[in-house]
Amino acid sequence: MRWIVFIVAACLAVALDMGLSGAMTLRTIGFITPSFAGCLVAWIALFGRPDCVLWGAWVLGLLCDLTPGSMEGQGLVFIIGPHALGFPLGAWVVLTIRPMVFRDRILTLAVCTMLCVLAAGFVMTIIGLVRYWLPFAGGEVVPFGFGELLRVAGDAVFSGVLAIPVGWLLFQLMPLWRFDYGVGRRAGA
Amino acid sequence: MFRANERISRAYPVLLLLTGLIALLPTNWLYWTRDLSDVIRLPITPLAHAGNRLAGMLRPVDASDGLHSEDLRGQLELLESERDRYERLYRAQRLRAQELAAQLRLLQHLPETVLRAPRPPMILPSDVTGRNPRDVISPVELELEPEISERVLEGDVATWKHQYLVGRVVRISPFRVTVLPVTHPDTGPVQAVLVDPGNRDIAAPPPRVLLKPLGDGTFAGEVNHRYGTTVGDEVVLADPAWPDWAQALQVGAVEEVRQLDEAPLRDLVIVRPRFQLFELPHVMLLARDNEGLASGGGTP
Repeated sequence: MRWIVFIVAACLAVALDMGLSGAMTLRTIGFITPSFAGCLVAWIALFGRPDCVLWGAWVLGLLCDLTPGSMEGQGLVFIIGPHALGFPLGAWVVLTIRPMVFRDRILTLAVCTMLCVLAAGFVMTIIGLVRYWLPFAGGEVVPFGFGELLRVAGDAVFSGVLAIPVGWLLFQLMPLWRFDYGVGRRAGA
Repeated sequence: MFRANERISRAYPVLLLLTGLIALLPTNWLYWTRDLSDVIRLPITPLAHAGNRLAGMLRPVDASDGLHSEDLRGQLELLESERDRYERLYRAQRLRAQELAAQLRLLQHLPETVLRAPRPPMILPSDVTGRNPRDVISPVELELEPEISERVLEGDVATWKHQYLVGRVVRISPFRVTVLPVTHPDTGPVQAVLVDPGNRDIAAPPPRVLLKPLGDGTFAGEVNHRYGTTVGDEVVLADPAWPDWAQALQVGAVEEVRQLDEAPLRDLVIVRPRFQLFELPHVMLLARDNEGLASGGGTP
């Protein structure tokens, strides 16, 4: 995987999550918003070398955690961890299942994006709960409930839908990435 | 099948462990993350700015709600005539206030500079460069232009279209301005007054209400039941803790009125701002005009 292409794509994905994704937010259904960064994690997890994938997922997660409004506590500090741990978890899940899937299908990317966003949301929920209950952590994050889990699931589904056009674009730019394909299954192979 | 220990650097689990520990650190130990965010996001901010502008164009905040152009034209004419009427009333009231201030100065032997009307604030438009569209009460970041970095201070006010109060500046770094929405619990309770849109009784003082942010983008407050608050009543700021020029900016409208069982003479009102900070593509910052104060050239 070409790191320079990944860094540019990561900056673009985080910027889109900070800006353009606001135009797609479903405000009447719990502010469900798609994640461009989730699409990118799934993309590299499907095609990249495992070590590059995990490092890339961590870097992208760190960038997401440092964006405004991302789990900020009192005093507007940034909580590093929800995405920096969630995206590697999602990438690990995709790495585990990728020998069993057709990687060249956009639908595969959509499903893997859902898994990555679900994993990130799951970790965010856990960290939110732990920070709430730990006496020294600040307890600034409100406890998460069933509604929050539903919203995470909604984000995952919406991100999966977004992964269809984004995935099409990424497949067109595939040669730029110079992936080491490995031994996974590919459609038509 | 991929295994966890396959071709992965030994440093990676340590990195994840450290990340997990940092995620659980006390908030007081995490102030360095602000500076880290400022530096790391330098290349991202211009892209996010462009994305926010595009989002503002794709999904305008003040959409016309299905009105046709003829309806809009009629509405515009009506608004213009109302604006002219209020302008006349404002001028008349200002003259009256100046006359009363002069009489009070004379009676109380106060110096000329006292009871002078506050200078109008500087209006500094600024684009939103970063926001979290998932969170109604998330802070937003604004573009830091030279004029803003020189003039805007922490505590200055962010408005939408000079009419709606949407937030307050909480941090100015060398790279960006952070604004916290007025509905964020950290902003604290806000004093406001209920404005009767029907002008039922102009002579009666409007009821004051202490609005507490609920954390979901709304406020809650208690009002005397006798006032007969109705859904849709406007709520405007009347809080001495906020700058003079922020007074009378609209905080929101009454969304729900509930009679309290434990205090039947009081109503619980839920107030929702018409515009939330996180959905706006740009805002107007109202900053103190220090130049005018320094030169002493403030005429009432």
